Amino acid sequence: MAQFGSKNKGPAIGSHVLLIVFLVVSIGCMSLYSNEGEDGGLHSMQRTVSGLVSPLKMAGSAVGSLGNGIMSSVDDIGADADTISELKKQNQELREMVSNLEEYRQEAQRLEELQKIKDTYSLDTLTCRVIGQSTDAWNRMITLDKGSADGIEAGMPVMGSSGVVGQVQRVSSYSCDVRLLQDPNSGAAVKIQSSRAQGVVRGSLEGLLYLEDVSSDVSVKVGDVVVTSGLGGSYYAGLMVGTVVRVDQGADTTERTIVVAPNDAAQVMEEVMVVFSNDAGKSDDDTSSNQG
Amino acid sequence: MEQDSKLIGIMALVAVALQLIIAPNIQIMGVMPDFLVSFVLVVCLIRPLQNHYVLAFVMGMLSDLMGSGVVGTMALCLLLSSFFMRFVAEAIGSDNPVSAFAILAGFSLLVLLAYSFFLSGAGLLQLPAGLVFYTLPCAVYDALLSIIWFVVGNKILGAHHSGPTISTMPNLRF
Repeated sequence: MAQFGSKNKGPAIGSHVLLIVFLVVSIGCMSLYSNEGEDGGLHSMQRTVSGLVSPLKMAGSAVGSLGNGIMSSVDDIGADADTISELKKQNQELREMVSNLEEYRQEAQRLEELQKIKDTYSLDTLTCRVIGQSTDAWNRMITLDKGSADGIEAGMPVMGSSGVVGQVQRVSSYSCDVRLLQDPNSGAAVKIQSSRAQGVVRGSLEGLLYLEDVSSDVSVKVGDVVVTSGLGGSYYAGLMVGTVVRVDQGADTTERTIVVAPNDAAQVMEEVMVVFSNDAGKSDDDTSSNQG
Repeated sequence: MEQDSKLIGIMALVAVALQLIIAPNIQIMGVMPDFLVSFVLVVCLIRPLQNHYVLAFVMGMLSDLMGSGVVGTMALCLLLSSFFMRFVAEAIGSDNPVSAFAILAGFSLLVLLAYSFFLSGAGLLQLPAGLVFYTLPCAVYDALLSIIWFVVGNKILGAHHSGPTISTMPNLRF
């Protein structure tokens, strides 16, 4: 059995002192972090560490892509192995070329879609590559390859190819972390495009978007487009958030559960746009009509 | 002992790299394993009295700094767990893999429960839904991971062992 304590009193006392010191430091850090602002020392340290580990996160994304490639290769196992092997040898160069071209084509397509959004909303934006996802289960965040050196600041909205996906949470020099709308701690003031009813879209633990605080006398239908209202100042008005996919009415109550389909899933996002400003001003709901 | 510390240090770096590179790619419906937590628990179980508070504190702080939570929270949870784990291991023994795994699974859950309550206190997690969607599934994931760490840790540290430990650990057979 373990020889705890009795035989090694010296080291045991030392380790207990160490434990107490570390406990005090931990609690001190928690208290300091909770009370300091975004510019505080611990927040800055967290941003710095986040920036330092972003290359490793990028490696993680590459590993993920590799894993997807392996999974698709597994699907080919059913075919005749000799034939596949021969064809692979003969066409290796061609396949690589086609693969590269396909990659460029898809990238161009995605960038074209982002450009369309940019033009539609008259946005001043910066296109960024997604280089990583949250490394813990408690947050739904992505990491982008641009940071404060490119003019990105905390709080800026981030858009995917079909609308708002989240907001910049923290920025280091050459990378930034974006909290997605699906995160339980995210929220955006929105309105339903058809009825103009105001509400708030919140993320949830299960990764769905819930539309809340909508007046009970407002009719909400599946397919209704939800856009940002601009209230609160977190997002510019008129940016598309998603569409209503489910409305559950309680049996004996006026309470409703309205589920909104998010624009993009974190796993499939490769490029996004950080919005610097909205040149079209605040009356751009019409542009989202075109989009929807 | 110095050799052990070096090996533990190297394994800690591997744990950090795995957390950053592998963990996001093996998440299941948002449930992600925590290589750092499971590694610290395993080391505390198989190498008590060897600066494991330093390891718990450093890994906890790293976890907090790499994530988005309140800095110091995970360090506190791991420190408390490493402290109590010694007494539980002494009380029920970890002579066989079953009891060792039970201790690891239990403390995986306790660490995440404590973390969840701290997050909830800071307004970053809604309870009890958070327990259902994150804490319990993540604890299961971490428990499974700690089994792997336990086997690997025993293989590596057992081969180079020179310091105090739970005396029956080297006799484990799988």
